[in-house]
Amino acid sequence: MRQSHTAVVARNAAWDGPFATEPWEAAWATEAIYFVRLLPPGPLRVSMQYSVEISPDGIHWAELSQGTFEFDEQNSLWYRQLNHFGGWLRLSGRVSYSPEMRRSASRRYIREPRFMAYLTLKS
Amino acid sequence: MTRNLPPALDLFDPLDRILVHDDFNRGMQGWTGLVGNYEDSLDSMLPEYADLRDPMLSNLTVWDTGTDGSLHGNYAMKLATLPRPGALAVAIKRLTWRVATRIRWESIVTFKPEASELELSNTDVRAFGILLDLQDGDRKAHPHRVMPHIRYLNADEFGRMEQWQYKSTHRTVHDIGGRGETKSHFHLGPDGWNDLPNGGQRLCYNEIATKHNWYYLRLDFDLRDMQFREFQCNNRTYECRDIEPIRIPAMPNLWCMLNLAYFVESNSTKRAFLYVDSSLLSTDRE
Repeated sequence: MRQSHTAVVARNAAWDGPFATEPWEAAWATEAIYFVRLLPPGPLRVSMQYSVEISPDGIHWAELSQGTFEFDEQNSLWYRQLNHFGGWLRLSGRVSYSPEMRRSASRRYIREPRFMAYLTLKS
Repeated sequence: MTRNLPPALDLFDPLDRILVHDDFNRGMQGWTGLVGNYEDSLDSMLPEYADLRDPMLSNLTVWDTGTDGSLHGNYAMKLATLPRPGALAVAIKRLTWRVATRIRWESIVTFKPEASELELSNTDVRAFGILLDLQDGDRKAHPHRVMPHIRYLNADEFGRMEQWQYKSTHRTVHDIGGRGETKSHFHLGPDGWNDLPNGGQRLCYNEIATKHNWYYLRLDFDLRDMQFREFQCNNRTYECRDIEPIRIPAMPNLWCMLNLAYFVESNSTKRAFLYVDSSLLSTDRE
């Protein structure tokens, strides 16, 4: 039977601006998916530019792929499928939301965005 | 008596009944992260629990010599903290017990800081340790939840300490949320640790941050009187009958709980790592 494991790499993370998940060792796995979910309640439209990074040692990082997740009312969960990533993975990037939403968050009309991020691995 | 066991088992000295033998070459086997209790929102958990990091499978790869592997194969369970002083990572396995008897928990572990600087780095890990989270059975008069904690204080802000410690006291138990159904207390803080009698022990750190030497740990605890018996690390055995575990009134939904946990704490702006090659839990045969 194949091995599988879902790691929670961010739990209720208050990402705003640059972020990076902690290094995750994935040498035993041949395929992976990063899932990112915007937790309710929060701003309705949030943009996340992301890079999936790989590393030989968990210290030095190089970009494997990149893209943008656009969160809105209909799309609170995004994913990126991966293979051929070697021994280490992390997700980094930048979270941004509109000036109006930022004002609403600073006045506590809405909560700043909070995220769950998962790394689902399979041998 | 000579037992004819494979090497991965023969390095342990189990009691008569082996309940669990976790060799992490076979996967995580029920070991997972510890999350603070919450109600309705993750925001309701105690803040100390918010940044605990979950365990992963590691092949002990380092930048200068590549992959070490584990003691009997490729993989160990790795606990990795955030890179800041006082950051913690915890791995927990949750069981229940069926007979109140003596239990023995043995482990093969090693600890190191992240090798991000070409320095000795032997004070970058503050501590690593083990704990049990236990509760009496539901028929016992005056039942308790009992939490034996033992840690190796490797270093603090003043330098190397190399001291085994235990914890007998606990912080306030808080109600979580507004329904009165969930409680939480943080028991891994820096407060309340006492030195184990004669508990100074120098371990093999081995010079640089990328060399891993495995250590043997053994904790004997008795579920009948919920008291420590003995603790062993490598060549040293500590008589523990006179030290008290954390003891609090029983909680309404934890009967016969038997949880095992490992933890590691950073002492610097580097990640602290605890690797567990394997873990074995055994009991007397009733």
